[in-house]
Parts: sequence; C-alpha cells; structure tokens
Amino acid sequence: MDPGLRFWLRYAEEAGGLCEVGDEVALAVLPAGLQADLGLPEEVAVTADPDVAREDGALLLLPGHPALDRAAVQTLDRGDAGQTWLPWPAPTRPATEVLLARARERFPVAHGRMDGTGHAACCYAPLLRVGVVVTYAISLDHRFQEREEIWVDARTGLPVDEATRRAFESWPLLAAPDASHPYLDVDLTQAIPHAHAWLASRAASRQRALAAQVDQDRLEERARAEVYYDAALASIARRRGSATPERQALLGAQAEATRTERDRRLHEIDEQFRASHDLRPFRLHLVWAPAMRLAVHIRRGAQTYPLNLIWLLGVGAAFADLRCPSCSAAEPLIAGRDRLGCRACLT
Amino acid sequence: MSGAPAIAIVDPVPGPGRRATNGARRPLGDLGAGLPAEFATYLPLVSRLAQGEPVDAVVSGLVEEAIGVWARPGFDTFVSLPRLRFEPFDYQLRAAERVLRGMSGRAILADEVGLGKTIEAGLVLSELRLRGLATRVLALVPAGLVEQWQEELERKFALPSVVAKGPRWQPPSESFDQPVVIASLPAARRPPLRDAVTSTPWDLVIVDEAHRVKGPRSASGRLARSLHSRYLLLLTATPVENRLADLYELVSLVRPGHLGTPQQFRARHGATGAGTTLPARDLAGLRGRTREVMVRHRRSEVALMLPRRLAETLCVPPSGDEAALYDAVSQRVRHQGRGASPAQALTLRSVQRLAGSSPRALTPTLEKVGWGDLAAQSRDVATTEKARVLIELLRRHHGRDEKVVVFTAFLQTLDFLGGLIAEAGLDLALYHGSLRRAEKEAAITAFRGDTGVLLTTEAAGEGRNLQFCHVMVNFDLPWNPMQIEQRLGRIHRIGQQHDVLLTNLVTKGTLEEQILRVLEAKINLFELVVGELDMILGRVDDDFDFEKFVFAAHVDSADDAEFGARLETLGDDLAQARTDYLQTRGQIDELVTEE
Repeated sequence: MDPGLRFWLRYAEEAGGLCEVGDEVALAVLPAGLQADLGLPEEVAVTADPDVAREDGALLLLPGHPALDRAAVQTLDRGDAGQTWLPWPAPTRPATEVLLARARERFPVAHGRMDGTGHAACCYAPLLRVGVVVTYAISLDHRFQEREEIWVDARTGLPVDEATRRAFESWPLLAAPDASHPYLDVDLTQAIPHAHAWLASRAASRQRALAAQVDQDRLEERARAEVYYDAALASIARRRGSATPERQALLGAQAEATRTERDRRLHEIDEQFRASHDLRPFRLHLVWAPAMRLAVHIRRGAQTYPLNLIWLLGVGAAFADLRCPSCSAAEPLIAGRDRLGCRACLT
Repeated sequence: MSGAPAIAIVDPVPGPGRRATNGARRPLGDLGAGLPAEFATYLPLVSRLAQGEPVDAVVSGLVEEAIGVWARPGFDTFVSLPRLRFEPFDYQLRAAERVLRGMSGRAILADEVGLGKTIEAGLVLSELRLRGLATRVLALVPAGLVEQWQEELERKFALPSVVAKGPRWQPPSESFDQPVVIASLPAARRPPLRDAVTSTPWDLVIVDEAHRVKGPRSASGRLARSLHSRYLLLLTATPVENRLADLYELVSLVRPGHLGTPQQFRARHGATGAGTTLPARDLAGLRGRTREVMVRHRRSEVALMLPRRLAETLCVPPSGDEAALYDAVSQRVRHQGRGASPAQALTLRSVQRLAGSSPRALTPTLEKVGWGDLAAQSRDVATTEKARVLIELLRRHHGRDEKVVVFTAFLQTLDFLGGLIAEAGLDLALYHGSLRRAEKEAAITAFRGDTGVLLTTEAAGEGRNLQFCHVMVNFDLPWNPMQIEQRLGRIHRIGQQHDVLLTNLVTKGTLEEQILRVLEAKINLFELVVGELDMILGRVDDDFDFEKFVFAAHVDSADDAEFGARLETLGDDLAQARTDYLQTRGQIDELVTEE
C-alpha cells in the first residue's frame, strides 16, 4: 500500500475512525471531529491510484493533499513523548575495583587521587532521546526537511557516545521496568538546551555546506545583474553628457530609477539565496538505562570532594561523561585547594 | 501505571554529586518550568513526558510515517521514486537532478531521440509537484503527441492530466491535485485557448519538440514567450537546426540574458545567420555556457541497446468481391470528397480507412452515410483474404510457441477477427478501450500467461508493457506513421530480449499499400530509432498531418497513378528531411555535447 495512504488510514483509526482496506480503495468512516478537521464527509473512499480515483470516484490521497498534510502536521504537533526502559542485562556486573580502575583511567583528575567510598550500586540512569525535523531553506526554490536525533544524558545534557547509543538502539524498549532499582534525577533544564544546541550545531554545519554549493550561483547572478545595470547606467551617462539641459534632467531621473532598480534586484538575489534553517521537535523519549553508580572521593591532601560516576551497562558499556561541578563545562577536572573544578574555573 | 516512576525535577544547578533517588512525584507542569523561553517548542512534549506515560510504539510509528509524508528531502533524494510505475535509468535521474539542483528547474533537455526526454521532464515534474512547488503545470506538445503525453504521465508517473481544448476551456481551479494541462501547440497558439494559457500563472511549463518555438516571431515562438512560469523545460533533440541563433533563442527562453544580448552574442561567437550552426569564435566558451542550462545524452554514452526490428510486409491479393467493393468505395469517396465540408471529409476519411480494414467494420458506416448499395455489397463479403493469411500466420507462431499481438484500428474488425481466431482453435485475449480496468488487467494477465494471441485496438497502446512478446502483426495500417510507431513501441522497448518481428498485412491495390511502400522505401520506417520519425515529420512541416495529407491526395487525384505520384513527392520530402536531421544531429553533438 502507498505509504502516505497507509499513514492516513492509521491516523484516522487512531483518531477514532473505522477503516476497511479493499483491493483498490479503502473505506474510512470518520468521527465528527475529524470530518470537520479534514473537511471530509463521514464516509469516504480513498485511494493512491489515479486510475482508481478517476474511475471509481475515490478520493486521491497523494502527498500534498490537504487531508494528508493536515494529518501529518497534527501527528507531528502531537509528537512522540514518553518514558521507556531498557531491559536489565544479565546479572554479571563489573566488580567495584574494576570500575574504580576504569574510572581513574577515564577521568584523570589533575592534582587529585580518586578513591572508592563503597560498593558500586545498580540504578537507572536517565537518557533523553530528542528528535527534530530540520527545515532547510537554501534558496527560494530549494527547501527541504531532514530529521535529526540525539541521545543525551538527561542529567547533564552531555551526548551519549555513539557506540553506547547504537547498542541501546538495538535493545528492546520496555513499557515498564523489569527490575527494581533507584532512579537518578532528571534535569531537563540542562538536557533539552544542550541537546538542542547539539542538534542546532549539526543543522548549522549542514546549512553552511549546502549554502556553499549555491553561493557560486548567487555570485554569478549578482555579477550578471551588476554588469547589466552598469552598462545601462553607463549608456544613460553617455547620453546625458551630450543632451540638452531639459533632457539631462529626464536622463538623471532615469539613472536614479535604474540605480533603485539595481539595488532592489541585488537585494532580491541575496534574498533568493538566503539560507536558513528551523528545528521542529517531534520526539522526547526518556530512556531509563541500566547503570551502576560508583561513589568516589577525589582527594587532594586533606581535602576530599565527593563525586558520583555512572557506568552504563550493556554492549557499549562506558561511563557517562562528567560536567565540571563548579561551572558545568565538559572539561577535565582539577582538584583545587578548596574545590573541584576545571581549568577555566580554577584559574 | 504500576512500577513507573514519577519524574523528579532537580535544581537547575547540575552536578554529578547528587545521590540517586527513587524520585518524588512532582506536579505535571514542573518539568519544563526552568526551560528558557527559546525552548518553548519543546514544552508540549515536555508536558506529555511529565505525565509519566510510557512510550507508545503505535504513536512512535505514526510519527515516523508522518515525517515520511510531510518532510521533503533535498533534491539529492528523489521523493517521487517510490511513486513511479517504472524504473528510470540512472542517466535520466542524473539529468533530472541536474535540472533541479543546478539549473533551478529551467533547462533544455536535449537528449538524442529515443533516450527519454519525456521521462526526464516527468521526473522533474514529479519532484516539483510532490514538494508542492508545481501545482499548475502546462505541457505544450505537438498535436500528434497529446495522447502519448497523457498516457505517459498517467501510466508512468501516476499524474492525472487534462487536455485543454474547446472554446470555453478554463484552467483547472486551484487545488493540490489539479491535473497537468496538456495542450497541443497548434491549438494553444490560437485564440481563445491562447488567451487562457497566457493569462494563467503557471508553476511549470514543459514544451515538447521545443525547436518549434525557437523563432521569436513565429506564432509558436510568440506563444512560448508570452507564458508566465517559474520553471520551464524545453525538450528538443535539435536545439540548433539551421543557424546558431536557434541555440541563442532557446537558451534565452530558459535563462534570459545568459548568453548576453543578441549583439553581444554575435560579437562573442561570430555569425549567427542561416546555415551557420557552429560559432566562428569561442566554441569552448559557448559550450560551457550552454552546459549550464542544457542536458544532452547521446545513445553511445548511455549504452542503451534495443534489439533489432525485423519487418515484413505481406501484400495479400484480394478476392474479386473484396477488390470490387474496395474500388467502388474508393471511387465514391474520391468523387464525394471533392468540395466536401470538413465534417463530411472526416466521415469520408473514416469510410476509406474502414475499407482498408474489413468489410465487417465498413458496413455499419456505409449504412450510416446512406450508401445502401455499397452497404449491401459489403455485407456480401463474408471474409477476407487478409484474415485468412492472418490465421495462417498465427498458427505458424503458435507452432513455434511465440506470443503474438495483433493490432487493428477498429472495434468491429476486432470482433470479426476474434470470431475467426476462436474458430481456428487458438487461445486469444481481447483488449479494447471499452473494457473496464479490471477486464483490461485480466486480458493482459491472460496474455502474459498461457494465451498466445492478444487481439487489440490502439487501446493497448496505453503504456502496457508487452515486452514478454516479440511478435506483432498490423492487421490494418494507420495512415499516420506515428501511430504505427506507437504500436511498435509496445513491444520494441527497453526490456525486450528478442529481435522484434513485425508483419504488416496489406491488401494489394489499397491506399495502405502505397503508404507503406513510400514509408519503407524513402525513410526505412521500420528501422528508424524510436522518436526519429517525429523528427523527420516535424521537419517536413511543424504541423504536418500525415492522415490529412493522404486523404487530400486521394481525393484530389484524378486516379490512383496520380495519387501514387503525390505520395512519391511526399516520400522525397521525407527522405530529404531525414538527411537534414542526421546532418543536424552531428553538428549539435559538436556544439553542445560534453567532451
């Protein structure tokens, strides 16, 4: 079945309609709200085949049809939000000593020593899966959409590394937890802005690359227009030089109008090739990932600074990245005399 | 939901030192409370997330599908590909991509004949349409290609179309699925259709055989220059015919000013007068500029090989009754055709063509026109020699386990032959325009299966792929060679694995016999590459109507000898047109093809 038609029928069913799919047409019975919303009657036969539409009088639902576009826009507006759990893996867990050794390797702290303060404990770590549709406008003619997704740590907003994300994406998603462990706190005020910044940065980089492809066109178009208007102005100037005073005034006005037109045309060309992009969120999944929390102290002399490290379990097992406890920067840590921080906030 | 945790919100200051909690349930709106205003677009999702509901796989799937429906990727991805009812060649996709990405949808598609300029234009059209960039679309095509365009758009691209004709024709009202408007060039350049098409703001205009609009002072040229359209595709295998200025005119249509003013063009490249197709100066520069707006592929570049066409004509001597009937009808038509009104001429033309097909087809029309004596004579001719030869031919192919598609122009002849073939004990499927869609499908399915013969009117033209069959019989011959070409195109196309065998059945002493002789002898009709015929006919006269010419020659001639002489003259013109065409093709390659 045509993907657009299949989507529309599922959409209608989700909205309380009834659909029956036949060989050539599908019959949909729409609830009152949907009828009004889509501007369709209660019963409607739909198809994606122009021949069938023409011969059987069914509604031709092809991409671009308002009823199809509206259904898509409403579905995207509603979005896809919820929480989900990754299954708890087999009971073998890394020993605390092993984790500590890996932690020392992964997070070297200048001037400090990392010591464990107890056993590593199981917990659920929150990850945020953020999906957006990016609309790129590279020129007036060239507008298109692409989807982008990112997984970030829902506590810090730091991106989940690629290997871990890929591993988690291949796991089944559960509608309820299959183990009873504590949950780490979620901080969407950190997670969303950082996720958004990552997505926006990717989009900006793609926009730059795309804009560079058409910039030559813009420059050529501008050059052509400039040559054209320069020639027109030069011609007016020549004629003006040998014209009577009365005609000189006329030619002066004509030159002025030509200059105005030139500016307008050049502005138009720049507008035509002005690139922009826009992000439209459609997905927010809070993914509870099986993890182990390792409480450590960073010691510098008599000073100790407590720190919790999160080890994400699974195929691509790794520590979740850390932010500086003082300034939130994602930078290597330094044990200062009076606080734990990064180079920027300790100097 | 049992076991699902409420989501806890923490103070906005982040830090890894916080302890893990089981999370205290917080009011629903809190999750987004600390979000800066610039992230307001996330709030509806945050608010739903805060309700603590699990991810709904159905909703996730629906959202994915919605993105597929709503989002339009860049022109490096063809959104229309899944909708096509055929598989385009790579070079056709590349051409469409170049037009969309590099030429902003204004281009000259100048492939050699037979490489699918229509397909490339259809791909561009489909992409623009699916992206909502081209709702109002006009295709200006030669009169003889209107139906072919309609068929290609519907069958290959699933795009509905409507033919613009009649004095009260109006463009379709604004709606997403308004059909592509197809207008014949001769009709569109005359009022009132001209006024209707020139006053409509089109999104895309496609001009097929666009060399016909190159002259800015010709009626077609003036029409093309008065159309308003954001995107413009000019399709021609001969962007230059007699003079370099042809190229300048076409390029200036798609991108005004691209080659400068006429004076600048002349100054840069030398003479542009008649007979001068290559620039005197700066050929490389002109090639470069032309490539920016023109796509041209040569057959040799795309390695597109079609099997051979092997044609034979069986000239069947008629029985005495048949010959007498044909002569009587021809004499009556010739006599009454002189001074006939256009409507009468149309009827007489039809009578003459029916006489070349079968008495069964002829009789009802003779009755309608009131020629009772001839109708009675026709009724007495129960069968024909040509029909007998057909049955022999079909038996021979049946013995070789070869499928055969038999074309006739007339439904009554189809009925007549259907009866004879069935009597001969041969399986056959019938296909004609009056069948319902399902019946047509069933006929093609049967023919693809065990049925050995498909007996069809021109309706089988409608884009049916019959490449699984390589034998074709023309029981009667259309007077218009383009129609013969279209019949052949059903089996002589990409995907055909065998040499195509074509048998033309003509009755000795008929107009058809003479037409066929001229077409074969003068332009080697059956060995032309697909599309070349149109180039040749177009060179005789832009709006040359072969069928009209034949009828007029028949009526205006004192006898068959004179008719033969007139056809001979036409044949000479066609032969010259073919020579000119081949010569032009070489010059174009030199001028615009990439090295």
